[in-house]
Amino acid sequence: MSRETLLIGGVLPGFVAALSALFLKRAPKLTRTITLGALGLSAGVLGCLAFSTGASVTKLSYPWIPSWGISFGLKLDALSAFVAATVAFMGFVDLIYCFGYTKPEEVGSSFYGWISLFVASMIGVVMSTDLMQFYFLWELMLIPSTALIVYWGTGKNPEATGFKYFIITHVGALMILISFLWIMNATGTSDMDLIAGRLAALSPGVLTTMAVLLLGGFAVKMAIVPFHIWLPDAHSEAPLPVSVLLSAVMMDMGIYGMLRFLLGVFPSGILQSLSLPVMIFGVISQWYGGLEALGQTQMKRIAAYSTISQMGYVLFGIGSFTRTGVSGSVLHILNHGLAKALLFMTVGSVIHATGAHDLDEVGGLGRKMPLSALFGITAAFGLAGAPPLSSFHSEWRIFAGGFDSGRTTVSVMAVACSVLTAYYALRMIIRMFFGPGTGHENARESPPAMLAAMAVLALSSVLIGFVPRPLSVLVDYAVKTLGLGG
Amino acid sequence: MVNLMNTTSALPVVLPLVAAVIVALAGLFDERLVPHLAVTAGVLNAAFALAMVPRLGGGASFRCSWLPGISDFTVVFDGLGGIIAVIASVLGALILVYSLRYMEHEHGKTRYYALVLLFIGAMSGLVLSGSLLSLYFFWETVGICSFSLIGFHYEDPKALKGAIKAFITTRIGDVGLIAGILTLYFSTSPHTFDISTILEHAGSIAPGALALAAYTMLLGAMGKSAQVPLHVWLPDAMEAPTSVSALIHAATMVNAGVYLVARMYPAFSKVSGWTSTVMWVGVFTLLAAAFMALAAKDLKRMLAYSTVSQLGYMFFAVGAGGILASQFHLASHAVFKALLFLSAGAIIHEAGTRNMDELSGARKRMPVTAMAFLLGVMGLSGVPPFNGFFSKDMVFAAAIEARAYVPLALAVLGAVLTFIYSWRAYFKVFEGEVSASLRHAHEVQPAMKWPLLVLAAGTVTSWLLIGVQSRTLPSPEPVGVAGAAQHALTPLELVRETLTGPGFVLSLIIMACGYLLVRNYDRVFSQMPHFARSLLNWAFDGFYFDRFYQNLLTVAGRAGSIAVASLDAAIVLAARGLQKAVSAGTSFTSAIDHKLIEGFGRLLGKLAFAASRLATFADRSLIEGSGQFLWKTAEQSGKTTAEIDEGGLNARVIALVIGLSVVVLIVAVETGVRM
Repeated sequence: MSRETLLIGGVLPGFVAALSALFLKRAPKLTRTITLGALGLSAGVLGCLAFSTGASVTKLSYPWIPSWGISFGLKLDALSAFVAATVAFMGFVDLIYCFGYTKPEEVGSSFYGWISLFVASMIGVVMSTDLMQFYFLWELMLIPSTALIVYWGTGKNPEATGFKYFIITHVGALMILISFLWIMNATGTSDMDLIAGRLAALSPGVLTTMAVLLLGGFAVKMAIVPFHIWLPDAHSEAPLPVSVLLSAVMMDMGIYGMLRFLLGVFPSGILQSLSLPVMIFGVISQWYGGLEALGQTQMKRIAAYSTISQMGYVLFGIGSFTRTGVSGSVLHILNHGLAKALLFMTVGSVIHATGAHDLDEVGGLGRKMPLSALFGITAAFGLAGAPPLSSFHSEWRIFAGGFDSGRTTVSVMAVACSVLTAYYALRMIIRMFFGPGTGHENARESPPAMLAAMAVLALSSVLIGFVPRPLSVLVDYAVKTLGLGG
Repeated sequence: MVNLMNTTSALPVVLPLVAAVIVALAGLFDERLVPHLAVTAGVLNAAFALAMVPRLGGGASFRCSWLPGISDFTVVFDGLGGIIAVIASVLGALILVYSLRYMEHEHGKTRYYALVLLFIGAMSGLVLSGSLLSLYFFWETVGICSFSLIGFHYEDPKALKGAIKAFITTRIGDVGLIAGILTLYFSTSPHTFDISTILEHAGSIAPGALALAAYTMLLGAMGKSAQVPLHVWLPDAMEAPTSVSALIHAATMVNAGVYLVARMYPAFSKVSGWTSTVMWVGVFTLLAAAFMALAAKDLKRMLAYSTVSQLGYMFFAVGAGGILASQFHLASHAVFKALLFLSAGAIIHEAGTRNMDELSGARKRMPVTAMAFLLGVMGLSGVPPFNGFFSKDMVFAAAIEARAYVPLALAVLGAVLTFIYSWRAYFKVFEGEVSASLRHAHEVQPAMKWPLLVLAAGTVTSWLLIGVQSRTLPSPEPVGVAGAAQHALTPLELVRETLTGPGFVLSLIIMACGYLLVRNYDRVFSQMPHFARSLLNWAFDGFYFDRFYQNLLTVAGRAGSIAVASLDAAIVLAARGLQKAVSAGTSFTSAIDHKLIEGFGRLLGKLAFAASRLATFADRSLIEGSGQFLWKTAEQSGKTTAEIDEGGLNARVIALVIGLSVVVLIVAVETGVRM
């Protein structure tokens, strides 16, 4: 099979599964299996494609709105392959977790349908070849996620949470749209491959404004302080498997957008002028998210705030605009996903076993749930970027980017935050699983499906930690596609 | 064959790591398999490591691709790291054997053995790494093993607190370490993590960057090696099982900092003030920790403070330029301190308490253990011909050579204190009446006895390895300096140099003072001036370091929460402001709607109405009026013509025609307007 066919085979299954959910209203279990199969297929195909991509580019393109020259296509290079494979993989693992966590008869077919539409549209975003297609899928991604938050949310007022989430991220999307329209107007094309070359002719002032608009728009999706206000509620009140997707996967779209549209498109002079403010925003997010996470007692909120902090790391790496820093941010797309999904899943295990959402209500569960405790510790060390876990490889690159850019003070502040990260993450896990128990005599270890999902994540993390070579090569290619091959 | 040799040099790293995985998997099936598997792997590994000793410094190295274009994974088996790797492997094996008995009745054996094996592998990886990046990788991995093993009894809040404290405190140092490593990476060209390349080209690194790296990496070393003021985690780490304390928190992991400063010495020694900083950190630590050890009442905490103090000696030696002395003392210390910990562990195991006030007369119940502890004390206090005597002497000799007399005087004072606290501990715990806690104590079982005996033999013999160590140690001088070859020593030369050197006099003075003070301790103590006694009390509280950090953390925590809260408040305010702005905007637009648009509309309406009225009026008055006028005119004219031609038919017909045509005209005009 040609790579083109494979590419379609990687993108399509999620959409097909989402469609099938429409016709299988009475058979939620079947829908679940179909979704699992679809995401598994997607993950497998995209994974193979990613590791065989190298420097090659596979592109398919069809006219969509021909009178405006807008097309609809799929493009696979090292960067999009890496991110898309990550998205599909995390979606697949998340669905394995669902097999233990959610009861199909309670949530119904549509739950799985929305999830697979959510994952599929994210893969689509990553593969986009056209500005308008990107925007279209970007907004499409918002619909299933909002639906999942609103209909299956666990908070007091899921409608309000969903509304807030929708409106604020939509504002971000509008900033992106404005910038896109402006770029289209200025360059006369919406083809992502062509704009970079044509933008160079514009004046620096215009370019800077465009870049700032894009930065702002993607920063909303990444929940960078002060655009983070939608995240703590949305991530902590969504049903747990959706929290996993929101926190561990959807944030990656913001990162991908920044990489593709800022680094890949704008001339380096413009980026250099934005470098320091971006890095400072990154450091603020790091510390803010970490301190907030330290102050929370609700487990899901801690995990949610930690996402803000982790996105601060990523933004810091991007903001350095150096090869090392950016490669760290790219790698962190996967590594943060592994650690954060594992953290949320551990929290889910505790909720599943005890029904408690608050740290004050749990303790000493390790005796009854040893494997969950082990995975929890792995997640905490993963967030802290401690070897031998995979996040080490991304975090040192991120910090290295800071030092490479020559901004030592900011970099030391960024590195110092890893102490805070280690502290809040360990504190949470230790209060959940160790120390004196607080009742919950009936707590049992999670069902095999949940443990399997967590084991896949934890083992991947350890494996990548010790054998980082294949991913490192892939990420180096990805960074080269952004013109930072240096 | 050469290839095979090179590959085997990676074995001390790879074998325990693989064994850890196998043990963890085996534990899933049957936990009874675990201890034996682990011990087999440990002993095998120790045998391989010992077999590597003759090849030390022979340039055996292993290289495999790890992060292409950034850093390979390399193993360099030289006298600096190789000796520590051998120590870790051999002690690790002994401690695994010891654990067979010591951990017999504990839960979580799989966790324990897998972590110990992981630790041994990672520790070897740390000291054998030829790249700063993989060094850091293993540096943190041993930290994680240490964390997990301190918190082994995870239902005990004290153990958990100790575990977190250890990890976080060393992590603070690690911030410095990674900052230093990355600074070095970017200030070499081409960028490299390779240690030997960095040391070789240290001269071409920008002085500012080199200084930054030197001091930040020192911070990392201080955290790992528990140097004041980052020492606070080590006493609390004593919540770990004693076997772990012996291996990780006495003999191996805590040496990593010393190893690091010794390894980087050729590059950093030229940074102004760096060597004296290292020396003073060491001196301050060795003295403060000796006081704290003297004041400690808990047997394990006393040993922990003693470890801090001895690590201070190693820093002191590095600072004075005595790399060989520091490494020699490191090896001695590893042996006698592991012995002290393991025999203390045996006592604690039997007595169930660590409080030295509740322990006495142990020798009558456990003679072998007592003998082992005594030999350890002789090593620690530097009695000839034990290993600690030779190595401490070499440390003093290095200080004399560096003409660092004030630090030397303080180090000698520290040695006197060491003599006092170690012997006092021995007399307190092992001599005198048998205490209640030890009434039913039994001598240790063979699995615990043999490791003690091996280590006890080591305290008398380990200094004989000076030949290998001095021959294979890489030169501390920067590469390219003339006469940089390391001065190789044979054991005989060592004895001769020691006995004829000025350090020997110091050792004699220390032993004499120590002996007198120990004998008359109670008398001296009761007559001690108030100041000295309060100094000891102060030392008992760890010189308030813990309390200071606690307060600092509280303050920092409050400041952090205030910062976050104010940021939150600012964001909420901004959001509210935005909301207000939006509602103000909407009310503004609605006002516009009401006042302007509606008003305008009304005005427009009125205008339109007026216009329509005007039009109606115009219609009526103009068109109708004109019609009527015309009609009237026609009528009038008809009348007139009728009057003119009264009674005449013709006149009436004409009048009718004129009237009709006027009507047609009017209709035509009307329709014409519409058209």
